Amino acid sequence: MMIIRRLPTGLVRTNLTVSSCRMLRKRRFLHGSLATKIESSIESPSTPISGNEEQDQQSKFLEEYKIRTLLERPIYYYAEKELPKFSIERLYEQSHKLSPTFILQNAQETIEHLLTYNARRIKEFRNLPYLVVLNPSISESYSTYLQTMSSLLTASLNPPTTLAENETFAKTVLSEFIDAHADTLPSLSKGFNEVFDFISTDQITHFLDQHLKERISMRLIAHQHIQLTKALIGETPYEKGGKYNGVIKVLNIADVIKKNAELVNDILLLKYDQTVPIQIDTNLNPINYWSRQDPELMRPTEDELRHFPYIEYHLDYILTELFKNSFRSHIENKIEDPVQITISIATKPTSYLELRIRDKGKGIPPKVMNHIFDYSFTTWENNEGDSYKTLNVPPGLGGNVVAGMGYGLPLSKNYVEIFNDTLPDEDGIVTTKGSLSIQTYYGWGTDVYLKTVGQ
Amino acid sequence: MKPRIAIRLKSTYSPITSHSYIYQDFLSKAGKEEIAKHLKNLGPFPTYSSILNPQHFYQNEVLMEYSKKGPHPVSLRQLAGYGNKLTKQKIINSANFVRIELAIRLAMRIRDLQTLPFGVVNNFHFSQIYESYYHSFNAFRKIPPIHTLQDNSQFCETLSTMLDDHVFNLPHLMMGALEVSILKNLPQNELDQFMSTMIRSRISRRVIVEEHLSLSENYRSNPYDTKPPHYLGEIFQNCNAADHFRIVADVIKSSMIDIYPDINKMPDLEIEGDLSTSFPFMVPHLHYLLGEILRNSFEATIKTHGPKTSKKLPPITVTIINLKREVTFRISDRGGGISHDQLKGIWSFGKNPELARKSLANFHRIPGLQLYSNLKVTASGSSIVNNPTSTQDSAKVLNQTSLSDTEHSTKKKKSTLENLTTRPFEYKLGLGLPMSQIYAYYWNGDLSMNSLEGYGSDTSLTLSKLGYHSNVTQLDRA
Repeated sequence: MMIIRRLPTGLVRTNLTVSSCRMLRKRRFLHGSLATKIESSIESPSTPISGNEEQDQQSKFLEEYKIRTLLERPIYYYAEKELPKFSIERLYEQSHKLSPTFILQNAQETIEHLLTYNARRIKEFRNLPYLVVLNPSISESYSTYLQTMSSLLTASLNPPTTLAENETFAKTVLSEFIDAHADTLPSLSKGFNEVFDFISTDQITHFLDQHLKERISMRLIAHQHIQLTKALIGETPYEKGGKYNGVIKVLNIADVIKKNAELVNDILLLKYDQTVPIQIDTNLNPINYWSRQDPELMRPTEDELRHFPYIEYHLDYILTELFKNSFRSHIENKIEDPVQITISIATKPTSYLELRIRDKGKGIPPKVMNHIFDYSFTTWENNEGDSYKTLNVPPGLGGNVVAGMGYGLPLSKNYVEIFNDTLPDEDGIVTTKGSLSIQTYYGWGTDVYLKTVGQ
Repeated sequence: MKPRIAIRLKSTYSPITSHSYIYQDFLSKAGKEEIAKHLKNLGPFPTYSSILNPQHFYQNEVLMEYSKKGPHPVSLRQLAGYGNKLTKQKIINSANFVRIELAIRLAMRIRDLQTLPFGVVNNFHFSQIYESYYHSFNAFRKIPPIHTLQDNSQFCETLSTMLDDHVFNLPHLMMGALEVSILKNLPQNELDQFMSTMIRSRISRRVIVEEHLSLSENYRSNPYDTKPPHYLGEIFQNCNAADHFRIVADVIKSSMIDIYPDINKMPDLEIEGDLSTSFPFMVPHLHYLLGEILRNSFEATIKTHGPKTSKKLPPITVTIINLKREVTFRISDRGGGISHDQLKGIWSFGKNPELARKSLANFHRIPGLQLYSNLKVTASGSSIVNNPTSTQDSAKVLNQTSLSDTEHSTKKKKSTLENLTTRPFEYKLGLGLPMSQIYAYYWNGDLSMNSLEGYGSDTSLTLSKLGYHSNVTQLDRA
């Protein structure tokens, strides 16, 4: 008689032998699967019940499954959060409010904001086609973002609660964050150059636009917190309630220009064994010189003409890129005249900084002008003339990490336009706070206009 | 006295239950710690993979070459034997055709995977599939041209092993689809499109391979055999519709004993229409299609009426409509029907997260499921095909479900009926209808469903009569 009893624990007791199992299976009295299991267990009585091994494997799989599905969720969660409002006012406000309590609150906010930006970047990478992310240069960039997300998540578990902790936080987590992402651009550029077969130009442009803009914002947020921290602990000048405790400092524009011109000339000396002179002029007469008011009281001081509050490393980057272009055009066309830089600054009643960089480097051909703010890969595709190539992809300008990529102009544009309002105000006006534009005179030279406001 | 033996019934004990998938709070301290530790696993190069590494991108050039060639659309008759008499040359031609075609078709599917978003293919299951396909592609393209019957035997061995290897892929394809639909990182229609292309291509590749295997076998055993002019190949048999319905229904009834022990009270199958209808078809595919449809009808009827009555359950009516070029079946049940909203979603591979998690739980419990591809490579990194013994296990695994039944149709391989018989009811994977639809469409047929909510459902299955279409290029769904 066939006995099969299923016990409450899930065990089964049977008095069957292998052969009887088989016979019963044939006669359809036993489920196929049941028969197989009984058979295989009976046939190998010495081997341990394979059920255990299988359960181990299943447990392990379940553990891994749980972890796997956990991983993507914070990315979606943070990526959906709203981006913080970006404006010069906000930066001033933070500087104004700076105090030991404020800095701790700011630390937490900084972590949350950075997590949002970081998650968005990861999400965008994951939207690229599979093969594109398999490209080693692009995956390198992607991995950096995974890394920093990891470290930010850990930091978010223990936000700083004292000034000392905040200092550590700024000097480790934030500085590492900035360093990790400092060098991602050359990799990305190389990577995108290699994958343009697998992804449309539009997709690349869209990705890079967003990527570079958000990158600037991320780094600005991190830098701001580091600056505020430094001010508070006295490493840099601190004025309680003042405007210039953060990344925005009052800069001597003429000095900044001279510094960057020297930097570019050093590089050119290495490559071409030549340098290019510059000539700086400013508005000699104040805007309301002809007003009826007493000129003595209205005349801006020398100081005011040359000083303007802005973010130094942004200005450095933009000027370096623009000078590279202008100086090189002089050298390649054997022009000995200086490059002329005109500064116009006002602080009252409105505040603005206007720069014009004028060169005599024979200008830019019209075909190239259409693509002047595109990313470098498009030139290779379109096979534009040499002058464009040299403009955006200068050969052998070592020493500067960003050289040779063709991202200089578009990135500069992004830097100066970062504070532009994207939404119209009550009057329906979308205010422009910064802009970069180029007017070329083909055959003669090029004028570049750089404008920004103080608030 | 016969010894008493205690064994564990695997299907009732598993560390995985439907409670295993409750969402963990990812914002908690423990959650964030785990995530921070493992976030690098979202990167593109998993440690266990031999193919996914930084050089892969550059080595991919080879595949690009293959994917630019088009697949050769073929008709069934071409495949079945190039005419009446088999000759040695025909066999060799067929072998080389298979060799080149498969490399091209695999390359095209790999390209599909490469163009999907990274976040989707990075999924654990899909990346296993990617690896498996790439591995096969590499192995295939290296096979040298076939010149002799000896070469062909060798080739058939390799083909056979590869068929077994790819049995591994189907559950992973489906689990990947389920996970992706939980995370919603691919729109539903794109997911469905992708799944149909993959599965369709898979069917066509396997038919090509199985035809060649059966051709070679025939030639080996009967070299002077002549075939009738409309011969479609060994893998196609003349099927009497009514008979097959009854066979499949019996099988399903036995698998339902667990939930409804009285087999005599189960619904009867009433068949009307042209009972003599016969047509050539691949038996495993036919059984799979009928099986899925009947299973749904039986299940619905049992669940709706079983608890309410002790009388015999209402029958399931099958109407057979025989036309010149096609045959249609209407399967009507009184199983309570489904709502319109449900009806809209049943054909999709993308399930709502709740359902997807239940199906995944069942998948994960399938005993012996091979979780990692055991792809072998030589010391220098070239892919080699596994030796036959190790892949028998993966084939056995799917005996528990209906997935393997469509894989083996030649006499060399196991027959499918046994596999259908042994499928226990509880391994409900939830993807039977979308899969069946792909099979129906593949053979130029149709599968659709109507329902009267509260009363019952009617499923309509149309199949082309292959004999009439055997000259039409059939397998151009590469």
